[in-house]
Amino acid sequence: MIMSGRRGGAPLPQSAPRPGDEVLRIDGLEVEFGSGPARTTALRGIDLTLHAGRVLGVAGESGCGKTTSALAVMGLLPRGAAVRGSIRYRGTELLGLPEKELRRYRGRHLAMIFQETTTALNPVIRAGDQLMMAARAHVRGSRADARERVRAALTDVRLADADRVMASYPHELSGGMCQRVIIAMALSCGSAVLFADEPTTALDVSVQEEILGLIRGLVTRRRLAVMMISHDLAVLADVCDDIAVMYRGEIVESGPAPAVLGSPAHPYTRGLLDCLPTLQGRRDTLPELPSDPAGTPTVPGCRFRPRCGWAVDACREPPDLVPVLAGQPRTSRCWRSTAVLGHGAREAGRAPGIPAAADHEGRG
Amino acid sequence: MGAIILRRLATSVPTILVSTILVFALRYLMPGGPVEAMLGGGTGQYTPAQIAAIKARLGLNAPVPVQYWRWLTGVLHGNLGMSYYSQQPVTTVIAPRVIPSVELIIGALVVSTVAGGGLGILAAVKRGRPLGRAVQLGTGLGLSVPDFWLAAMAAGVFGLTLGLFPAVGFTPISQSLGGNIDTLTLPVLMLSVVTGSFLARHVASAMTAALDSPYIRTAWAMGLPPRTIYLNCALRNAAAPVITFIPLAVAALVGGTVLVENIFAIPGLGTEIVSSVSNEDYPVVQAIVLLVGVLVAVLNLLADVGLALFDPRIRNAISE
Repeated sequence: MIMSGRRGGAPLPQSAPRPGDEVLRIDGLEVEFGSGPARTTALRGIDLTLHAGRVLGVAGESGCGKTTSALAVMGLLPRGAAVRGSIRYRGTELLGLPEKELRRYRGRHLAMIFQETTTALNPVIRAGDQLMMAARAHVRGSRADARERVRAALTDVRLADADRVMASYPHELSGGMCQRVIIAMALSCGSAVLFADEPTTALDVSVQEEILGLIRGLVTRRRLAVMMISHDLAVLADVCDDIAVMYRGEIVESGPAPAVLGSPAHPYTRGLLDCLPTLQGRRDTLPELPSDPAGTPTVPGCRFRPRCGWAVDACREPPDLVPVLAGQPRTSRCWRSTAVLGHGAREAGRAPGIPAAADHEGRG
Repeated sequence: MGAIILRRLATSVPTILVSTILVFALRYLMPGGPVEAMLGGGTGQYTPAQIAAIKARLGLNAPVPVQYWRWLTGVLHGNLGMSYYSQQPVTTVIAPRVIPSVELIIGALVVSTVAGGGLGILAAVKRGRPLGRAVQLGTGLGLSVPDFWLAAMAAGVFGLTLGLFPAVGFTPISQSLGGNIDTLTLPVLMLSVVTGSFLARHVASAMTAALDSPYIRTAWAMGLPPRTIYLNCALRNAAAPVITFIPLAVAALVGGTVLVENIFAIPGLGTEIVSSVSNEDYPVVQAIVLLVGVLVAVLNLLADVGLALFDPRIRNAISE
């Protein structure tokens, strides 16, 4: 358990990170909820790195630990959650910081936006006042100065009529506008890291495109490091530089987005890609099996084995997350990763926005 | 805002009208009817001629709607009739009784709002921790302890045994402010126990709902200080159920004054209504019931306006 780190008002680099700089490093993160017989393990030791000006996509079904990992970094897990491992923000260990310390990072260095749009803003406070609250939570200065920062942030999220938006209550704004306001809140204090938990799931497809484009633009202009959480691989394919696929609290595959989505090296990633709707109609291969930890039997060895068409006797031993091919930045937690990879690479592109996808026929 | 007040005013007129009809009907619901009541039990020793004369004098021979209309116009002119018991105008009987009761109700409302509201916030913020559990336990106790027992015990322990406050009696505010406060402290506190506990439960559940909402999670994610999150972001949303509760609380407090005034021997409306009922002095009973009915209707109106002030969505819904 690494809980040391620098404590008590650790000096933070004041300069903005350069593109490609490592801003957040998660090592061996474990999270458990509850105690005694009711204890459940949500994360089983995950490693993730966020870089300035890059988007990391985290994919997986509900309950796989995507959101938990972001909340753990933000320090927003419910009380009683046991967190182990290491979370370093630009060299400072965040894990084990007292709540009061950690609060200085939230909104100032690390920000998070959620799936809810209209309900994620306080219904009885004008959008402008909520933005002002966020803008003044961390930066000392006059109201006028904060107002300027809020205006700049609203311009940055492409909300043209800033005065009207600021005077509105959330119920007077559309879902897309609310999400923009929330992103502006996250930006107004100059956060370097943004966790976006299904930020477009509740929005219309056309608005979804706009918000994704906006986030992509902010990554370029503000050199924001983004962790984009989604169950929708098409969304991730749109905006991500890197992808990590999670299954039951573990990362099962990671690597550059085009490579992972183009030729997956883990049967689970392949399965998720097969579930994408296509112009020929939807193909379901996975939903037949229960996905919640209570539903799928816990077996020794590979956790995906009960649902896997590629499983062989070797899978009774738990696989490690290891490089797929020497010298490539890709990892997979599968004994048969090269076989899966070789199979997928021959297939032609199928899902929109994804260079090449796998086929589910002839599996195993 | 003006439009909202007008709209709500328009809807409270029928409410008040219906309550006057019910109050008027009281005289026919009383055992024996008005004449027997006026003659002080039993019409036996009176000749039918005497009874007919009284009926004529009271206007009881007119059709009931006409009687109601006469009574209502009288009430609107401030004429609540004559007390059968003291043979004085009802207004003269009631007027001095209003002040102690109003003092009690306002005092209890302030105490239960401040204490109950504070405890409710505490219970929500410290939910699941020892302090939060203790508050919930305490308010649960406050709700379930019989108030008549509690008031009698308080009068006994703090009044008689410890002698901290007068156990019974009342000093008018016109006589001595200190004495007034002394005699009202125990009654106000006892009156506040149930209402305050109820309010605390109400605030706790409204605050808990607010604290669990996505917008509070956003506030945490933006790193807002806890004080701002609790008192500014969450409490504003918890205000609506509390405002709605205030008129109900006052109605409950009015009921409570009957008990507390009788235990602590305070000459208010609560003691008056009890003695008037046993004296079958129905004009006084009618007047007090009417007063309370109008009070609750007005408070409901104020609560609606207060809600609209707090919540822009309600404001929109009403003005559309």
